[in-house]
Amino acid sequence: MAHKKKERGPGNNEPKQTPGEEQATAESEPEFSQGPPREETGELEGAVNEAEGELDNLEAEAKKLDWIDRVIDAMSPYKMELSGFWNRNASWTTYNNEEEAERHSREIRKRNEEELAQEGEGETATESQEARFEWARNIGGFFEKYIIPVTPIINAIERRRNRRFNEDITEDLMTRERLGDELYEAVADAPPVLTTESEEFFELGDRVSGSTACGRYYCYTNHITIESSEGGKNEADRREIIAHEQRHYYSHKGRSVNGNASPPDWLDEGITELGAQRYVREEGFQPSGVSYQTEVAATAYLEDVVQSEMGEVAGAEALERAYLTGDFSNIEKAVDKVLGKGTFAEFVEKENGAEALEFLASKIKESGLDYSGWNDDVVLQDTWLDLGEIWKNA
Amino acid sequence: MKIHEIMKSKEYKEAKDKIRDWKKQLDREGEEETLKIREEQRKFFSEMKKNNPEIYELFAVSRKEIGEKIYHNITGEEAIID
Repeated sequence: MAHKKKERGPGNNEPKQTPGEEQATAESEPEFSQGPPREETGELEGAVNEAEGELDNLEAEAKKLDWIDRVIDAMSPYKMELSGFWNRNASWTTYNNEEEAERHSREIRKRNEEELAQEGEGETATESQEARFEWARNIGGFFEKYIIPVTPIINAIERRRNRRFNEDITEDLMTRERLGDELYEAVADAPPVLTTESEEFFELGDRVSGSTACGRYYCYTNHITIESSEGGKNEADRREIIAHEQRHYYSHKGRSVNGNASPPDWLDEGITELGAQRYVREEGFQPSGVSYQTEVAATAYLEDVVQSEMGEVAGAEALERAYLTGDFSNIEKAVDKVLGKGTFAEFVEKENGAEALEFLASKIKESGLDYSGWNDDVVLQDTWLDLGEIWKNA
Repeated sequence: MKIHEIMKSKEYKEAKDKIRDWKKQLDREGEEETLKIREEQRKFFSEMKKNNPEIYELFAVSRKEIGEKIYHNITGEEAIID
């Protein structure tokens, strides 16, 4: 953005006067006054020079932003390579047990508290905190008498159960067969460490990030956290959240080991969630909901397309391998073969799962591929998406 | 939920543009601007949740992405906030 300087000419240096000021000047300084006094003119010139200096600075800032914009645009084709470079060179921190991970959590909590205190938001209660306080006030003495004394016991039981779920899931997911030799070797000494954190811990994080969460994976570590809900969440949902976060860990490690970029966030979440949902269902649990539904649907259709080219088992394995290593070249080949050259590149360029889903459905329909039965997937059945409408309008 | 219809709506298109701008700004801005965006997006999504819950659901990953960028700009730490 270029700022056009105002030209200096007669009158531009004149101070603005209100009618009252004009009268006062006329009364105190009669006929010999030839404009503002010298001292005032000097101040005015100084002010104008200062303002011009400010404008020059703003112009320089604007140019800098424009320059940054151009650099970002120029870099965008290389985003994937840069992301791969970052993944390859990132330094990892491994937590060997819950105690070490809890120390990490305490550091995170302290940093978030300090950040909010610095912003002057340290004492501000969030809406949900307020709601809880209100609830506690309403039930009066019952809370102090019955709930507070047993809370530490409930929390301890919950932490122990979550730890057991985490170990179960690790045992199932962290296998050579699922992860492949290279990734298995990379994570064998660093199984995921889970800590169960209080609602306050999550609220502090939410206030810093401005978004809500019930699970977090700290990138380039093996540490995941889930929110303590004091028994509010059922076992299936807890297992699903833990499996989801564990999958983030394995895929991050796999891309790091292979030096590959991460897929776009919407695809990453789609594959992560679809895999976690399938795993917990295989284990006999029924989660109460599916997260990232359009992303999950786009992923399921992507898998169907790949399977139509590679076969059911090989197709599913190829997509999982791509997810874990970051190397999607085989997926790209299969998709482009079935739906036309450049389709996969266009698919991953979409801004979100909904647009990717709509795009993929239209390409599938255009190709004449038989998609009947694709919506029978048990995970898709549990979404609130009107998948019929997607195909109708594709 | 009828995605096709939602994606044709003015609200969806406006939200998409806003999200794109925020993401771009968060890639280059300092802490002060990040805090401003944090408040803007918090209000924006909170309104959207009340008035357009279906559109709100469609932008689940976008909300997550923005939250992660804000968290990273403020704390320097990378986390997946699910």
